[in-house]
Amino acid sequence: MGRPKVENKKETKSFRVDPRLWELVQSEALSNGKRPTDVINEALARHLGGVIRGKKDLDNDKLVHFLNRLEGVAKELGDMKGTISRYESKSRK
Amino acid sequence: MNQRVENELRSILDDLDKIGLLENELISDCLKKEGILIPRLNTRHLFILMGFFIISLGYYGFFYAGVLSKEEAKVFIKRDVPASVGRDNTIYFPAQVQIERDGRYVERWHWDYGEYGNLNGFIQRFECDTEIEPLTVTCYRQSEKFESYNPALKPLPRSLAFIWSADQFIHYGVLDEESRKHGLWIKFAGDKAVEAVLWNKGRQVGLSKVGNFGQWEIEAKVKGFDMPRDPVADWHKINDGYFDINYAMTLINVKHDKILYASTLGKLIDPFIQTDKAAFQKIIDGLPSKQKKEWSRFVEAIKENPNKTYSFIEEEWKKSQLKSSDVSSAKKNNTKTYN
Repeated sequence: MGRPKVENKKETKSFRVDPRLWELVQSEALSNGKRPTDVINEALARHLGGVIRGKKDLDNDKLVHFLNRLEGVAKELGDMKGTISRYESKSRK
Repeated sequence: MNQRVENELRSILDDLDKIGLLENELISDCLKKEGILIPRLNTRHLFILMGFFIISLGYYGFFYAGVLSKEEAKVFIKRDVPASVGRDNTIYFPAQVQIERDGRYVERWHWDYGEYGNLNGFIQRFECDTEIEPLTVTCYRQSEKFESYNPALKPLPRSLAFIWSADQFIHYGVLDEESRKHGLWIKFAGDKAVEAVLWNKGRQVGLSKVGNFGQWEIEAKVKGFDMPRDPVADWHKINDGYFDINYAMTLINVKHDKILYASTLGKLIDPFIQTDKAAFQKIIDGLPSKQKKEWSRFVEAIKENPNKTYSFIEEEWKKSQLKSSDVSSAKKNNTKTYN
């Protein structure tokens, strides 16, 4: 007697995303041979800086703090992939 | 992907969440910049759709609905129209319904010719739209008097129909189960048959014409269909089952100044008329000898002097009519005296 087989294994999502959007991410990941989480990570690393810069309720200190952290992430990603990160500069225009 | 990167991003998202920037929204925004987004009907699309809708509504209003209301407004139905002299100096029999469009009549329905003849319960519909001149299409309906106007109303299926032009020609033929032209149609110019067209469920499959020497000549025919050698003689056989002989008999007894029913349709149904004559002969043969003798004298008189005999019969008929009217008026007078 072994452990019973689990059917319809529940999929764990790393991020809280709208289910319809998650399906799109899954298909995008499938077509590029990636994991859905990787697709989201890359999108966050590239664009989260720009997205939070557009949020007016975020003061400058916090913005700089998060952008620094994101720069680290981008560098890490760049090292991994050998590419240059293209996310936006820290200063607000 | 490096786990450290993933953890750092998770941590950043958690921190942003604490200051009110929701993870779901941030991820959606980032994915959107990558071109991954849920298709939504945005305001711009909505405005474009609304624009299309308003334009379509406008088109409907101005063109379609406008045309409809225009047409509806101009259709006029007259009832119980008396006899008159119409186009080409033709007598127009009294019509029980007349449909007029744009001031022109396009249809006339008859079920009572009044003093001009008897329709014996049959109903005729004359389509007489002058825009489709020179054709005047006639069909008939039985037990279905006019109730409401429906321009798309089809003629009675499996019925005798004719196409008539007042001063040119008349075609006789039949319609199939779906009111399409079917069987043999014959065209008369005056009272002479000049053309025969064979139809199969609305499709023309043969054509014969009378040549210079008065002989029928086959002009064209589709494989699998045969044109008769004598279309006039074979008309009733080919169209058998597609016309009501009583209606045809009724028509040949209608006296019209331009529609020569007796000398045209009469030729097509001659075998039936001959059968009727034979039946009449049987009746005469069965009469008592005294009556048979009187009948023989009458036949001889017709042979000797037909015109004189005809006028004598007409005179006698008029006298009998006068007598019967005198009797009825006398009866009326008597009734008044008693009252």
